[in-house]
Amino acid sequence: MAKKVLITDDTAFMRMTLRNVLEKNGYEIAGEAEDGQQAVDKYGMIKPDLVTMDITMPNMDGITAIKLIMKQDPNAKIVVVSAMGQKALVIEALNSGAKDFIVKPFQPDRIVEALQKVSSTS
Amino acid sequence: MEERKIDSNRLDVLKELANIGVGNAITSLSQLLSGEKVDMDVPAAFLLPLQDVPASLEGEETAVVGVYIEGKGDVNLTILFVLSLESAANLISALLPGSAGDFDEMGISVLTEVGNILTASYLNAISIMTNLQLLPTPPEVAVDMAGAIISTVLAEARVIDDEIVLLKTSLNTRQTRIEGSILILPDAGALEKIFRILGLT
Amino acid sequence: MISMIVDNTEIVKVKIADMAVLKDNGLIITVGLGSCVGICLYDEISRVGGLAHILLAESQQFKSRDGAVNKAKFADTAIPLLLEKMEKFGGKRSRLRSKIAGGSQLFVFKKTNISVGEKNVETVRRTLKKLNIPVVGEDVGGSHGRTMRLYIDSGRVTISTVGKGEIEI
Repeated sequence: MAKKVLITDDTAFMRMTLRNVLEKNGYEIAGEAEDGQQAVDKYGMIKPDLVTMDITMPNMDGITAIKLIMKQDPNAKIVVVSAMGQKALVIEALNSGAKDFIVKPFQPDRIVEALQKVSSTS
Repeated sequence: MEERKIDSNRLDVLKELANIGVGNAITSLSQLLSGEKVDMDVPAAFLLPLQDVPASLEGEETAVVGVYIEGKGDVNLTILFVLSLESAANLISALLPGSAGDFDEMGISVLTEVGNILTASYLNAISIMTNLQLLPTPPEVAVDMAGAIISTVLAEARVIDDEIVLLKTSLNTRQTRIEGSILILPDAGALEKIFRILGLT
Repeated sequence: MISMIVDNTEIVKVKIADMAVLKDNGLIITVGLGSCVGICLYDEISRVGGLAHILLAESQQFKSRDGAVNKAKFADTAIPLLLEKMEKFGGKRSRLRSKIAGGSQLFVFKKTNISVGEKNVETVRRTLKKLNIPVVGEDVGGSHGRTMRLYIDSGRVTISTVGKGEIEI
């Protein structure tokens, strides 16, 4: 069965790009969130298998959202997809519970590879 | 207040920071454009009276696209990515296959995301060099006269000292025909901090 | 400000945080009012006109480190200063009328309670009211930039915007 993914990014363009890449590779897009708060809310509702998470977003940033989702579900599988590659931030995201960190702009393969790796672990 | 002295030595350091930062940003833009070569000018660093900042963009009354982002954290910077209308349309259609390059919701979101990626790459480089943490605010896009965009950015970012440090780099691509400028306005306090870290005080 | 003579007419360009006053003839222009506000004052008897281009509302929050304030940056200090200059040219406060433009919100996604532009307009109105100078024309708010022109011979004020041509206020 196709894995369900929740895409989180504040720009419609990036959500569309991620959707295209993931759908092409056999994932089902269960929902899209435009900021951290929406991601937290939608995570609870749709219980996706995987989450992609941007960091710089209005209302609630991605780090805060990761922490809140992990609190809801310690088994949540979140992959950060952000333009911010600063070391301290990557470490903070991983410490907060993210499983991988992809810096934009990305190669489509890199996203697919990361999601495969994360979803194969339980 | 002590007169803010920025000697040529310090301007050189700023240029080098801009060079590496913008170089990083341009690498990201090139990746977005499927590897197309992006050319950039050597960054220029200016110390300008506040009143003359709008004139640093040619044609204050010309309509342009401005993507405005603040880098916040250990130091604060204001970043403005400026594109001609034609270049912005070319950029949108290059990244959105089949699009006519309109400034509709999806078009604006392309510009937002490009601004986000360029700025973040820039800030990532600055962060590595200075060990300072800097996070960008979500980008804001405006399509209007250049003078109005830049003066609004000055007011919004409260960059209103009598003298302003401005770093400017121009970039262009041949195939997709994109021409733009990246303006960086560090807060006065930001410069002091950066200079101190780099051992220049 | 920059002053030049074109076809025997003096044209003065007012920059940001800047102001100018002319008498009898000429044109004062300011380009690129976004969240900034342009304030024109005019005395039709003495034909003295002035224009100020302010960036922010109140000077108090923004004293520079030596305590000095560039009065032309702020609504609450620029308008009294413009008035002072106009009186030197023979303008009379009781005869002054004002026209204002700008104060727009250029960046669409800004999520603040009150924009810099709105705050600027509000403070400009309050300052003019305190000085008993009526506002007789305005083009404020919205989300686009403006260029403002004040014709000194008549007191006529025009506003032009990108793609929308020119209007008189």
